[in-house]
Amino acid sequence: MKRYILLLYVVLVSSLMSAQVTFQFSDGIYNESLKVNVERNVSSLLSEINKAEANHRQLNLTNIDIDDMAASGLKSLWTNIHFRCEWNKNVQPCLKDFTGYEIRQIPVEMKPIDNTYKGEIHKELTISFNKKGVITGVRTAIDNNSYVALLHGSNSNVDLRMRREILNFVENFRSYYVEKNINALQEIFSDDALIITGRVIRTLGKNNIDGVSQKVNEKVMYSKQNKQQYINNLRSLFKGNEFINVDFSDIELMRHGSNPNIYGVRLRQKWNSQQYNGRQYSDDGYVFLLWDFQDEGSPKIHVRTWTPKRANQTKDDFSPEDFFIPNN
Amino acid sequence: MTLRRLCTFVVALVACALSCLAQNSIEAINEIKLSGKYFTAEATAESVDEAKNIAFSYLKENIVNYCEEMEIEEVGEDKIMANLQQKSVNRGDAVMVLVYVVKTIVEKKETMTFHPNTSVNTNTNNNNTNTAPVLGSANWPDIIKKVCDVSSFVQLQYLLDMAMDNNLIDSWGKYNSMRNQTECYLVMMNVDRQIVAVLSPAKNGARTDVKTGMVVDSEGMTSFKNCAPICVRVK
Repeated sequence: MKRYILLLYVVLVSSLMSAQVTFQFSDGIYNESLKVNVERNVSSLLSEINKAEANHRQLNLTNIDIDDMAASGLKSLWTNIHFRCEWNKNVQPCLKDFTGYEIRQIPVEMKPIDNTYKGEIHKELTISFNKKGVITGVRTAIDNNSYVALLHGSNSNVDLRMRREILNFVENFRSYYVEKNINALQEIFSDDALIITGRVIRTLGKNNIDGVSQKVNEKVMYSKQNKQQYINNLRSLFKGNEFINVDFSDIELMRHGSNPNIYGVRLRQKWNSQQYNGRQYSDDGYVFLLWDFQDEGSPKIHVRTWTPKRANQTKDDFSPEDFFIPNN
Repeated sequence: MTLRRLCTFVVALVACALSCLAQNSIEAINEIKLSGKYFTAEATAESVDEAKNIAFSYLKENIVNYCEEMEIEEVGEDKIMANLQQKSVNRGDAVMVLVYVVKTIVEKKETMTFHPNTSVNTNTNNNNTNTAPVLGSANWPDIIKKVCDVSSFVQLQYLLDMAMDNNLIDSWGKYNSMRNQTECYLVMMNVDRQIVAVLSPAKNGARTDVKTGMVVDSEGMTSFKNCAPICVRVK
C-alpha cells in the first residue's frame, strides 16, 4: 500500500512540475521592468495552457495580463483544439515592430480533441504584447519553412522589416478564421473590398467508360461579394461550423509597381471545416490579397480572390498591378 | 513473470534516459541563448540538414543586418560556416536545430574616435562625462521630439521612413553616407541597436543633447565610443 501511495505522490509531483512552464528573453528587450513583467506574464500563460491541457478543461485567463480580443481569440482556438508547450523552459528573443513586440518559436504540441484534426502536430506559438506588457495576441505560427522563405525571399522587392510586418498580419488573418473572430475580419477588410470566394461542389456521377461505376465530379462555384455580404456569410458559416482549420503556405509578397503602400500577398490556403451535424468540407486553393499599408498599424484588404488548386497549377496569377487602386 | 517485470523495467529505463537526454539538449540550447555570447538562429524541419539550412539562412541574415546597422564590416559566409556550431533536439518526427556563432566573429573598429566635424567612430557606451548643462530649452522640431521617444533602431527606421514619406525631413542615413553631417541631427545607437542619445546639428564645434539639454563638445563625443550615428537632416 505504501508503495502505491509513494507512486501516486511521484506521479502527482511530476505532473505538476511538467505543467509549470517558464519563459525568459534572450535578447532584444532592454526595459528591465517590462522584461520582467512580460516574462512573468508569458510564463503564467504557458503554465495555464499546460495545466488546462493536462486536465482537459477550459483556459482560465483571469490572472494573466491579456487584452479581451487576445483572450477571446485564444479561447475560441482552445474550443477547437488543445495544445501544450513541449519545453518547460523556453528562451526566445524579443522582436519589435512599431506597434509592439513579439515572441516567436515557442514549441507546442497540438493535442486534437478528436480525430478530425489534419494539421501538423508540432507547431510553434507566437505571442505578441504591447508596450505596457499586456498580451495582445496568441497564435500558432505558419510553418517554419514558409516563415523563413518569406523573410529571406531573394526575389522580393519588399524590405525585411516590411516582410516581417506583413507576415504578422498574414498570421493574424489566418487565425481570425480559426478563432471565428468576425469582428477582426470586419476590421481588416476595407469598406469597398471586392471579395471572390469559391466553393468546391462534389457530386457522384456515373463513369463514362463503363457507365456503371461511380466517380466524384468536382465543380467550382464562384461568388463575387462585397464586404457586407462576405461578412454576413462568414457569420453564418462560423455559427454552423464546429471548427475551421485554415493553413497557409507558399506565401509570396509583391509590392505594387507605382504605389509603394500597396502589397500583394499570394498564398496557398488549405481549408478544412466541420459542421455541428458532422458534415465536413475541405478545399485547397490559392488566395490573393491586395493589402493597403498606408495606415501601417491598421492595413486594409481591398481585394481577396480565391482559385482552386488544379493539377500542374502552382499559383494564382494575380499581381498588385492587376487591380485599380484609387488614390486617397 | 520476472522476465516480464525486467522487460518493463528496461523499457522504462530507456524511456527515462531518452527523456533526460532531450532535457539536457534543451538546457544546453537555452544556456547558449541566454549567455549573450552568440548570434543564434533555430528552425524545425523533418531532417537535421533541412533544419540546419533554414536556420543557417536565418542566422546569416541576422548577422548581415547587425553588421549593416552597426557599420561593421560584413562577415563572409565562409567565415560564418567555419565558426558554425549546432545543437539539435527531436520534436516528434521532426528535429529542431539551433545554429550559433560567437559574437566576436564580427570585427569592431576600435581605433577611430568620433568627432562631430570629421569622421565616424564605432566604440562603446554613453556616459556623457564631458558635458555641461545648457540654459533654457530649445524648440526642437516635432519630428526630433518623436525621435527622442523611440528606443530602438527598428522603431527609428519606421519613424524616419514615415517622416520621409510625409516630407517632414529632407533625408536620413548612416553617417558616412550623408553629406554635411554637421548640419544633421545625430541619433546615437549603441551595440545593442538601442538609441542612447539624440544630438542637435553642430554649432561652434559642439552639439546639444536634445533629451538632456547638455552641450556635447568634441571631447564629450568620445563617450559615444562604439555607437553608430544615424544622421537626420530636417527641412
